[in-house]
Amino acid sequence: MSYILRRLGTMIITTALSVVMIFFVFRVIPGDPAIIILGTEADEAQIAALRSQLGTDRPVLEQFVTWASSTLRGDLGISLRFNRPVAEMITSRLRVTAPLAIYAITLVVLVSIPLGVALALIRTKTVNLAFSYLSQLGMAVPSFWIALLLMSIFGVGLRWFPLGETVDWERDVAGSLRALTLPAVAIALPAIAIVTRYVRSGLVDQLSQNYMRTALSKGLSFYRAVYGHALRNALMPVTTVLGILFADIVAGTVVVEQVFALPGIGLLLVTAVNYRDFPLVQGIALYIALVVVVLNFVVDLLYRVIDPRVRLHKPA
Amino acid sequence: MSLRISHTNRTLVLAASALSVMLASCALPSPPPARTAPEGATAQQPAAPAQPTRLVMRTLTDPDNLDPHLSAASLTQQIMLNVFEGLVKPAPDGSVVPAIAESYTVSEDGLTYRFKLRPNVRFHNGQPLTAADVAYSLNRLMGKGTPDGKPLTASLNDVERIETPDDSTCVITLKQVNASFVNLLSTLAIVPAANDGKHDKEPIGTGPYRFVSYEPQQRIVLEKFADYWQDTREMIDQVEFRIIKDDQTALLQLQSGAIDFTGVSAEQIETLGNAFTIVSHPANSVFIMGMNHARPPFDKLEVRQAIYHAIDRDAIIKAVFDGYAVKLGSNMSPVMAKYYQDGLQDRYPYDPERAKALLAQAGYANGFTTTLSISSHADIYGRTAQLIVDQLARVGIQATIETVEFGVWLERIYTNREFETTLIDFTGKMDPQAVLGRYTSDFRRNFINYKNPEYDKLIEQALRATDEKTQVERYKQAQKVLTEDVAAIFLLDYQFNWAMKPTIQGYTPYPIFFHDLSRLRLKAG
Amino acid sequence: MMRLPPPVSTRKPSVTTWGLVGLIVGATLLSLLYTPYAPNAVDVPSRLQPPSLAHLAGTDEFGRDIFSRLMAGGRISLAVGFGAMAISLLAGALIGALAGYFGGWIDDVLMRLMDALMALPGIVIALLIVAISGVGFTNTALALGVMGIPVIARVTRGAFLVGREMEYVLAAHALGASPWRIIIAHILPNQVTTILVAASINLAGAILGEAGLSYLGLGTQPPDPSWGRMLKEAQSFIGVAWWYAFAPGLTITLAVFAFYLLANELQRLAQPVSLL
Repeated sequence: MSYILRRLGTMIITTALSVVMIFFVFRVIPGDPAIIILGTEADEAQIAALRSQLGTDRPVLEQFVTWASSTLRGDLGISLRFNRPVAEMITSRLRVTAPLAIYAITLVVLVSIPLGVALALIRTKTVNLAFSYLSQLGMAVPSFWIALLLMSIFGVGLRWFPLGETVDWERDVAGSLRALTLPAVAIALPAIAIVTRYVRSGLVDQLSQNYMRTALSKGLSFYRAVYGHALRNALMPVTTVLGILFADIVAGTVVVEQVFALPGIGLLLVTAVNYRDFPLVQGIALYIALVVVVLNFVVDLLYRVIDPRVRLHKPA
Repeated sequence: MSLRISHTNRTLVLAASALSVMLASCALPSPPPARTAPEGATAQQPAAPAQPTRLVMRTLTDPDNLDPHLSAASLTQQIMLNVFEGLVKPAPDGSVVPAIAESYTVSEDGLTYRFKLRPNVRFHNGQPLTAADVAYSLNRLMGKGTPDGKPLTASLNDVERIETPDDSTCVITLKQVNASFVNLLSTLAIVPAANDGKHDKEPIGTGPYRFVSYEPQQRIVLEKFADYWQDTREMIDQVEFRIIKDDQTALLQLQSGAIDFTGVSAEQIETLGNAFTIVSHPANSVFIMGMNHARPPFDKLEVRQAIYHAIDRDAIIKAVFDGYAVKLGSNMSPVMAKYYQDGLQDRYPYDPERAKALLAQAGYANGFTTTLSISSHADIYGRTAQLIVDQLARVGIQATIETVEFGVWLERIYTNREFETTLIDFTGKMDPQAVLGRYTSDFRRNFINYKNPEYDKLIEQALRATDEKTQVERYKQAQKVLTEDVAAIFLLDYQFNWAMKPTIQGYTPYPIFFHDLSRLRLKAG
Repeated sequence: MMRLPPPVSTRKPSVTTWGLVGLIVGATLLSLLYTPYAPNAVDVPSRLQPPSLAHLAGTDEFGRDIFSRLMAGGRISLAVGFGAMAISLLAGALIGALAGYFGGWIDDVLMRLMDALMALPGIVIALLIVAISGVGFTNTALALGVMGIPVIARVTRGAFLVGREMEYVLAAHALGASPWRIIIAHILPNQVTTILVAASINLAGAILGEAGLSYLGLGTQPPDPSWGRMLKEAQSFIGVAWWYAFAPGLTITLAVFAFYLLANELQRLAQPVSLL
């Protein structure tokens, strides 16, 4: 219990640290939101009017106090660029990002685990080598390259999947899935290469452990031994990788979002930074920090709950 | 084939859902509109109630502000000129034509403008337009009656007062003669006084299309306004502007059928083949290499002339724009036919030897080093810069490219004038004053620090001229002065290339950023 | 702690791996002395020519020789990769070593800092560095390097947690060796392969990262080529000149592939290695 309390404490500190850092760094770097929003055609009067409307003409400390106190009250403020509540903008992006992340992770799990198991069990030299090369090639292709290729082949050539649509998943699940298929595949492909490697090596490792020999000698069937024990233990590190991957996707996959013109968190963040949209940048940074911190915590908890070492020494 | 059809249907369901969100207050879920029947069927039902027509056009970026008085970005204007109108509005040939005002008269001394308002103009909320709304809008722009009292634009600085003797008349009195005054009014939106405080959230205008919804980084949806003061029956019912940043993505979406219309680069035209209609027209842009006159060696005329001779504009047009651009010689595009001074584009031909001689004459026989600072927000700067650096190197000038974010460019270079050389394109304006006025000594955005009292005088004379002939004459002289002084290296005017489905007809180019939806028609395949 | 694949059975060095790495590094080094054409030489009349004997990988929209630019581009891409790796490695290994060796509150503070850094989106770090000091390859390397610090720090910390319990380290401690001496002379050499594996994965990631940042316009400056920027610039010519994008795309893939294989090679030397 005290462990959990301590973890909660550090989680809050970590989050606060990164958000406060972001706040002040953005006040120091060059770039004035009013000038950027209005572009080259604005005259001085328009810029001054916008500055005072945005409140960016006030002292930095005053801005910080205003922002911090309203954030603590749960109000993330209004986006300078889009003139909308930041919280609302982030939630609306989650309607794209969350299904995309779940879809991509599901693809990764569905492909990597069976593939990794198969590769661990069929270990001929040729298969080993072929997989080793293939998986590393899979990790080596630039993601926007994969994305453009997928769009050209399956979106334009074969027209299997629509391009440039986002369908609300609450309204039409099948349609939403179809619209998200290509981006999910683009995200999943390199991840599959990585995760399959972890599954395979984890399982190979477990298969060579003493407890497997013990289990088998006690008459446990090979498949029960593999699926009941070895795989379970081998999947522990995979959980960590999946956790990191999931956090990455939920935090925004900027490149894939830009190629597919998907209104996700990543694209919003880039725009927010480019326009020096302070409240929006701070809001998204807060959101991402929370996601990363919480997911780390969940993975840690999983580790504590099912510590593989404990299982390792239990007689099967 | 069946896949293709279901795809189309889903587009429509999506449209319907966007619509029902918009109509949420009425709690009436609109039935999914059926698509016009495939080819052949249309001929049999000309009299049937029109099926809703729909168009998806691509736009590059989000609007800077939905409040027309706070917006300054050309790309926002390109869309929102369909929603808002001024007393007058732009015409395709660059002139202005009556809009909310059906006519106007100017007093002998050129100071008093009397606008007669069109009787049947309604706002999108159904409310009729009155002279009070006109006065409200113009006063708001001048900062009168607003909370902080600051003007929202400098365009109306010459206005003394606005009076409304009756509901359909508006009298504007100027402090001094301003030949550009009516031109300026064409992009100053008239908005309803009743909507005060909500212009940026629920924009209401009088244009042929009304604003329906805006989802950041996704789309802006406009819908035909049935009560417009002109016949709207032929117009497309709903137009969605899909916000797509990446050019290649936009091209693929056009090819996949997800969008119907997009701007394409010259290279992409070749890729598209014959499946799409391409409309190309000069953009009325002025793409320049700016040199900071306040920093040596760019204060020397010979150096600027040398650079002009060193730069091969034809090579740039070929390599960067694939031929889709025209050479310039001063700060005006030939699109501005009436004011354009021809011949200046040949004043400084590509001549590296001449350039070297001029450099030697200026005391830089061994050249010099400089920095070309460009923004990263569009490809054309980086691509043009690479050619320019190569061309300058051939005459002994060693230029280094420095790429900065657009935000930094605007602040450091455009506002604080901390740079040696840069590249920028000025987007089209209909008003010659707006085009040439940026080189006057006291202009706030004269970021290249060009100063020539003779030029200032010419521009002032043109602005205050009461007869058009003098005005045109002065503007042409002003262009010559810019060329003679090499105020900047005037490179070229690029073309816009619009690719659209062959069913789209009537796309009309304007000399400003404007997709005039009221002229677009959808013809069956 | 997780384990990467255990050694592949063979013990002799892999021809493919060393061949590829040698080819890529070699061609890049050769470009300092010789390229078929000057990499930035503009020749507009011969623009967008397909691959031929004169231009092995064709020419780009300015008529520049793509093959020469790929060779020269390696200088920047590899410099970004190695630079980023060096930053991640130096900072990460130092932080990880201190945290792992001393443990206690030092470990706590350093690891919380690493968590905070990890909780900052990588793209924000890149955008910030670009906003402050402009676009350029040193800044790209800096951004990618900073992003890589937490991972290396964690790996090193893990290695040190193991290392400090080793008998010879305990012995050195008992003999009164200073912490620094123990870290540098005793633990580090024995954990060096672990860290090198993480570093070569980091290197491969940085080369790929450079391509991603270039795609977003945050990469290197023209006219000097980098593989990522060449790929980005080629994007609008895909329909008319396939070779323009194909050549840098293939080069990036091969280079990243080569450094991943290298990580595998190193790992075979190290035996099963913990990562993350």
